[in-house]
Amino acid sequence: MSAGNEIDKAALREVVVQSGVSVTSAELDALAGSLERIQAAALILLRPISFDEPPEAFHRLLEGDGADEADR
Amino acid sequence: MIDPATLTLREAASAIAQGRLRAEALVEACLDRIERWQPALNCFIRITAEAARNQARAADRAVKAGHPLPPLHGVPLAHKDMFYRAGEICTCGAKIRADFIPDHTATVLSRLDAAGAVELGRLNMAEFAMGPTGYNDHFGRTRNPWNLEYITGGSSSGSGAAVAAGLVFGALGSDTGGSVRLPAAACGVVGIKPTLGRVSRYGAMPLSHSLDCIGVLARSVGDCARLLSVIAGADGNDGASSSRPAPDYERGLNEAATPGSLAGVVIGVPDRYYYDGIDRGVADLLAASRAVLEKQGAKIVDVPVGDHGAINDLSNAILWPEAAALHLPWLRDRPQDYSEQVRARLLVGLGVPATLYLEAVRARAGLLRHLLRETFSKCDVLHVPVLRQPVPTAKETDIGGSAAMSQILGRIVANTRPFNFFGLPGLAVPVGFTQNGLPQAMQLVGRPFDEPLLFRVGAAYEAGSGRRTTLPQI
Repeated sequence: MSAGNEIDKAALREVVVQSGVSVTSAELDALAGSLERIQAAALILLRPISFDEPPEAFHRLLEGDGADEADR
Repeated sequence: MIDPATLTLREAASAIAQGRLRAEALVEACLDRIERWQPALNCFIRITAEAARNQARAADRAVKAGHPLPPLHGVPLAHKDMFYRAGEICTCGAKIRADFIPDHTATVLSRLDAAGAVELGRLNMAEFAMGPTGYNDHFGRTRNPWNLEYITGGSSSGSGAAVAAGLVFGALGSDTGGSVRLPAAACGVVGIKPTLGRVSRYGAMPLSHSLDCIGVLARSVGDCARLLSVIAGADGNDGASSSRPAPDYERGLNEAATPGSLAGVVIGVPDRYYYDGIDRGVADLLAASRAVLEKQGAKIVDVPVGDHGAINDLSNAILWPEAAALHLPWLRDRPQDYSEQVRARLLVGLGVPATLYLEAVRARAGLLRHLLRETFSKCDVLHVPVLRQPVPTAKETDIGGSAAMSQILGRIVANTRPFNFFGLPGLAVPVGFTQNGLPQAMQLVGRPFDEPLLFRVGAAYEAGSGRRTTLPQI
């Protein structure tokens, strides 16, 4: 769908249409802009994730109130 | 008759319990204010006057009979129209759900009922809780009681306006990206978004299962503490609710109001992002609020934070795919029944690859761990503005589904949404007014489940500043 941070709008339209939803050109422009920002954020934040980090680790950390992590 | 505008929720509850005020008289006073304000504010979707009167009469009979009274006995409330009550219409602020009648009752409503609250009706909101301004194409825009030309903030727009105008003593809201804290700030009332999982979401309209929190708005920190004490706690009907016991959030608030009560509390001011490009008037109010906290004994320090701007953007990789999945059948079959802006935002969810969504979900633990280690190891509470700019006018934010939409709306939620990503509790507390006459608020953010400390700091601020929530004049 994208090369680097640039969104391929034709491919994006195809993805949306294949989900059974119609999309106008104006909507597609807005959508592409939003996705560009998300992808830029992902490039910054997602690289350091550990291979072994499961999704539920977040809830365990939250439920444990993060006390060990935040000791002053 | 006591003017409800002069009372806090806790004062009203005490007056009823002690027989100094009849619940029915209080309900009538609120209904009278609603009749005067509703045409201007458009904050109610439905007013259930007769049911409320009946509830109030029953409450008065219980007082007379000397029955033990629960903490909200006879207190008039109203709620964002997204909490289900079996057999009653719940519109979710949407044309699509204009006739929706749920078959079960939200846990939060059951708990408020058990606590003796009287419900006056259902409050306006952004369509399906999507929108931080207070716009609603189907039920009309909620207007800010401080100036009708300005936004209320959203998505709990009616909750903010109704509480601020003194029409009710408190209201439920939901907060997926700031929807309790933003209207609280823009309308000049207190609002709490608790830790993710602290309050059951059973029977509440979902938007994003990973981010949704139920919160409350009221006219004082103590009032919010009482309401949260009633609704918080584990719920077998909501598998995602925390099993941790919910404390009495009012405990210690009287002591918090005494001088020097914040000795030993370290309040952190982030060294980046949250104050970037802040309006000078807003910055002055925030600085003054920190001075009050310092005078109350808190130590104020600068603390490092990571790239929370990127976190703000990344949270869209979670929110919109989850929302789009919920709405997909309607997006296919009834696209014309969404407003332009809501439809445009939902489409984002269809464009996020599944791998990116899952990676964003998986990244939350590491990013929260980093925040706890690098930031909350140096402070107990973060102090940031809810909004970096003065509350905007409705005209300035009337952007429909245009390409500018995500940037303009993104600026409004910039300081609230990261804390939904982290699942952390946030308390919005009014700190004064900017030159346009609209309120502003500080946002106190704590470690997971540290709502008691947020309330303590908020109460210390209220006492130290001498600030009691004032009401707008009609």
